Amino acid sequence: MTATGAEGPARLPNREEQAAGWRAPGQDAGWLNPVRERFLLRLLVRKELRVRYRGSALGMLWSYVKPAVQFIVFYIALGVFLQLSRDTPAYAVYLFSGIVVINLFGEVFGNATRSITGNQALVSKIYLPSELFPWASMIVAMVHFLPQLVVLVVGALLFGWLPSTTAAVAFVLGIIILVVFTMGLGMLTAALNAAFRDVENFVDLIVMVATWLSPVLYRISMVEDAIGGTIWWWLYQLNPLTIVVELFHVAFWRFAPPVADAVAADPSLTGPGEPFGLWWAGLLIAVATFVIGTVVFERAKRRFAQEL
Amino acid sequence: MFSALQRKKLADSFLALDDVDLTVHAGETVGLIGFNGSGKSTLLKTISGVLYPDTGRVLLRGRVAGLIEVGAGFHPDLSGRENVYLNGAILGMSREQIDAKFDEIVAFSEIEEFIDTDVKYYSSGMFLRLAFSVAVHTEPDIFLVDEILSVGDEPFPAQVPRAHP
Repeated sequence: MTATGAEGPARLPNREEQAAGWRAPGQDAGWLNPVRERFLLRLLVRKELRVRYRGSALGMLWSYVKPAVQFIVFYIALGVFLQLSRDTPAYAVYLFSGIVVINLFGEVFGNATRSITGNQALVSKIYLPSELFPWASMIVAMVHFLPQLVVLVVGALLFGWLPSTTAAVAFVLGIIILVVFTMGLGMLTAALNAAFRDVENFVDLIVMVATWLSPVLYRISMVEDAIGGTIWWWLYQLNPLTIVVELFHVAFWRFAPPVADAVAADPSLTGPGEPFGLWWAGLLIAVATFVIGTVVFERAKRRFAQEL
Repeated sequence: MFSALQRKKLADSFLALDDVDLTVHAGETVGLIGFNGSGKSTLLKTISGVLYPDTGRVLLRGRVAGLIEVGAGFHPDLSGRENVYLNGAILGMSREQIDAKFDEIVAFSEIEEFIDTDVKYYSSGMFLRLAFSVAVHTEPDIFLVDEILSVGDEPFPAQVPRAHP
């Protein structure tokens, strides 16, 4: 063990020193850590799940209750009062397949943002790869997403929907774009939140707005009627959440018999560029966001212990 | 209001360690003595990888276990057993290693009957003993200990040297 006061930014051992077995503290696999440290990642996920439901009688049931209430409120207010369900066949499925996307987005984004500040005791006292915290939050969010997905599939089956290759491709594309994009954002905000706690409030704001800035409650053709042809329409379409929500609609709603019948009479029910729309743009934006988020996180993580 | 408007600084800089140059060879035991705030913990945190030096570098050979604060990786809402696994993994052990050492860790901490109780119900002595026991059993090449040897009741420290010669 040696500590030198040598000048210069070179923190890592040079090649000869590395060959002799030297390494710098905290020298690890960087953004690949979550893949290397699967055992630790699993324990952190289990910890988060245990801690989340401590002293709670309903426990995991809460992850059904919350989306259920949300769904009922939106269905009554928009489907019945604003009569959206009259023009949109199987509006319940349409609505819920969008809600699960926004819920997953909100939970991954929110949890990842708070993952560094929330694990203050570990980050500032013990060395462990800090990438594991946002990743553990993401996996916890996926665990909560599964029951909602089951409810969605059951609901779609009730409307006569049957799984198909198109549905499977749309679903997988949607999930990949959503998780990669949100993790990128989450790593970015987690790093920023360690320095400025304002970020987590800002993130809550974004999540609140997200429900309305993607075609969850209304149909995308209504947006086109209102702002079609302007730059806003293009920005709206390029929103990765819009792309993912539309992919989920294709996966669970579009090919259910009542919808397929209605589309024959009214083609405006379909989204632009069916079946997969702007998936390539979504994937591109998601990967770019992920790269930016990871780079910022990797640069910021050295200061986490000081900032907390 | 904005803290900038209140002229409150969000961050301040402080030079904790300057011109430190030391080499510790394998098999050596080094004690750091100094006043509060003189940078002992900062040096240990720099060696363990929690903090990074602004200039200069630290090089190590072998696995490090840092006990900067006893039980820092423990969560009060998890049972003793779960905490042993979590903390063992944080200190760099694999699942097989923890499985193999588990009984030894529990025996050393002398809290067998409470191992499946949530750690929040432990007395502070029991808590510290379990945390310390996990740390010694990780068998690190480099063991960093910061002001924790006031662990446990009178009989407990007596067995520490036996466990980690």
